[in-house]
Amino acid sequence: MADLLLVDDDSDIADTLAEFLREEGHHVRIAANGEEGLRLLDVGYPDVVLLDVEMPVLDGPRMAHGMFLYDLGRERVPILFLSGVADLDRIAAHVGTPYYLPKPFSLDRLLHMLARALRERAAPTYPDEPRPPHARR
Amino acid sequence: MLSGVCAALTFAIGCMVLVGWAAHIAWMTQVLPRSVAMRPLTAVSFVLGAVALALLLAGGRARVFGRALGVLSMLDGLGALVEYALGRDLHFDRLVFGRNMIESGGLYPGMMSLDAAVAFVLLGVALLASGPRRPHFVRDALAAAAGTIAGVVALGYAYGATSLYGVPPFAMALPTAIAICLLAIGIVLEDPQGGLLCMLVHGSVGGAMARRLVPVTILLPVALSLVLVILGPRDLKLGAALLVAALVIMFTTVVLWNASALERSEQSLRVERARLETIVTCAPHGIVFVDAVEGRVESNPAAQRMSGVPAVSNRADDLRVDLVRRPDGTPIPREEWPGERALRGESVSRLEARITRTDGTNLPVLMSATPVRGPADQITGAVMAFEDITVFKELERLRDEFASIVAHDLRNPISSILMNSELLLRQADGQDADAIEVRTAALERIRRAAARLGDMVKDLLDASRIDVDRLTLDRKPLPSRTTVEAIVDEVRPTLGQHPVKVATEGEPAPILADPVRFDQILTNLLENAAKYSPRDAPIDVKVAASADGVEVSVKDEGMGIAPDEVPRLFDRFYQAKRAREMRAGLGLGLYIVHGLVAAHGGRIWVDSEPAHGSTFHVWLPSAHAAERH
Repeated sequence: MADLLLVDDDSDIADTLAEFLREEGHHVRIAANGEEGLRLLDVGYPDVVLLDVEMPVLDGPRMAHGMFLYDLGRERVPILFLSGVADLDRIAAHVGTPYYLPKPFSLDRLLHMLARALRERAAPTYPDEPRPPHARR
Repeated sequence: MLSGVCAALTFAIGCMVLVGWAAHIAWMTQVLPRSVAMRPLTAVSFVLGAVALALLLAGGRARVFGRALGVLSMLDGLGALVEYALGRDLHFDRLVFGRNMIESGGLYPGMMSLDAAVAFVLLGVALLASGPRRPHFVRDALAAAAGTIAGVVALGYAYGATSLYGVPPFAMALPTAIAICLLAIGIVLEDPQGGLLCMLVHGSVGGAMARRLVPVTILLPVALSLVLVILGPRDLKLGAALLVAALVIMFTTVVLWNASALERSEQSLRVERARLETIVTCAPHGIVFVDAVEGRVESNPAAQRMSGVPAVSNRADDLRVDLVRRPDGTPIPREEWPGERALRGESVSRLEARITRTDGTNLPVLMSATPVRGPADQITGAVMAFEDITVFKELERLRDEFASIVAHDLRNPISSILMNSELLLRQADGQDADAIEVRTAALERIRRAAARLGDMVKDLLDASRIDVDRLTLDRKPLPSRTTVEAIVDEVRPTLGQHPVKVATEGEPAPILADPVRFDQILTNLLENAAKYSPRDAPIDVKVAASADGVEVSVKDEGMGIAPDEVPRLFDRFYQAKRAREMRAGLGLGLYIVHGLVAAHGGRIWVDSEPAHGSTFHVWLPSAHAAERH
């Protein structure tokens, strides 16, 4: 049973996922944006961060970047991106994580991907300075 | 000009002869010694004919008098024809001038010779047939016939072939022959815009050819046969004169015929060229011609507009290296450049490219190029055409933007519905309180997600109706204050903790509005105010009487809108920074509100100061004012 940090600004989705993952026996903490996510990271490092891309205050890629600052060990936490943005594969590649699921996805696929992340524990490679926010043109 | 000279010379000859009769100077009336003289009435006719021609040349109302004088000048000739018909001399000269003058001036011919009479009548009718909008061939044929008659007589005098001008006294006098020729030429040249001989003064190919060949065809036979006559036996005179006359007439006819054919084909070429030029000038496409031989580049106005190149340039490179690039901005190698490819004989069709103008702006274009071939099929140049595809590019960008926004924003509620449905299925059998709670929560989230999807679809539909102006409004007079209050009361529960106050200013008149759409406008503004201001921050609604209408304003105490975001606030899919951060939806809300207000004939604007909140104002025409218009 793993310790998970779920960062998503859509409270319905966050609640659903949290409920489901708790049913599966995981311990889940929820953050509504990247800044909150970094704060919760400081309390204790989870086994996997489940991270949305577009969020207010601090978006997913920027939070990933923040995890690499200061060499605190946060950079070794695997990141699983969950998002509906069109180029999620490119964003995941940019951050250097092999784990991502484009929305909408089935809960089975999530379990599958999560199990893989927990098994492999591949930390993201050091991402470059993130691209400008994935704001609408 | 030439016509005027002919008229003046004819006038001078007529006057000279009259002076000769009056002053009893024989050479002035007959020119050649022992030859017949010009009759005084004939001289008067020439003076009249010359003045008639001058008046025709003057144009305008003078033409009427010119024709009248033309008729008068013809009378003497007609009289002579009558004399010949009756077979007796009616002595018109004596009636006019008296016996005394006639018998002392020169070798008086008595009746006018028959050929002169015919020539006079022909000239008179030719004068009548002159003028614009009259068929020139009638005038030209009559004058040419008269000129030929007189010309043959003149030749007869020149060669001493008496049988050509008759035996005195019934012979045509030399001054008469010359004057008839001059008048005939003057008439044919009268209108510079048409006719056979007018070609002589034209700058066309036909005119140039006629100017060179006509003098030769007239002078060469004359000169050759003069040599023959002078050197040859006496009885050669008549034959030579006849041969010359025949040759001159034949050659001149052939030359003028060819020249007029040339002129016609040149004129049709000119018409064709003018048409092509108009097409090229008016074309919305940029058209550029590269002359491979001279290295010149010519552009039409559209090409000049698109690229800023001059209409004519001597540097083909002007268009090449800096100006036209690939869509991504990289330069096109010289050998791949469409103009260059066309000069090699290839055709390039609608290649996408980018024109970078001198001011640094870019223009997306489709570029085509075709070689231009000369008579021997060699390539003499290339024509390039540029189509401005800015509009298509913008549509393409909007379509992509639309697709990505819609796809992204639809995914979240769909994800929610999918995941919660799965959750329900997994929890379907659980009967304990926990399972029931999970199921209830999942159902509620599904309902919310479906409602969000429904709202988005409705917004998209409204926005597309606004885009194409297909909004139908069911407008009726609404009491402004009570309508606003009712809407606020209805929306209040969804606005959370924000206290909402409605105030009235003045006596607001009823507005003319679609109740459903007005509700939509106000609800959207109220929800925005609640969404973008801190919890518990008050929202103030004001209904104020305004000239010819009512102004409804919604004021919040939120974080306000940055000044640079205000101008784009009502654009489709535009979201201010704060709205983007909150992922507040499709970015269509204010676009729809703006469209709805505009459809009502109203206005919407915003006053905002960052950190001090925003006030959205909507002005709608009063029912009273709307009915007046």
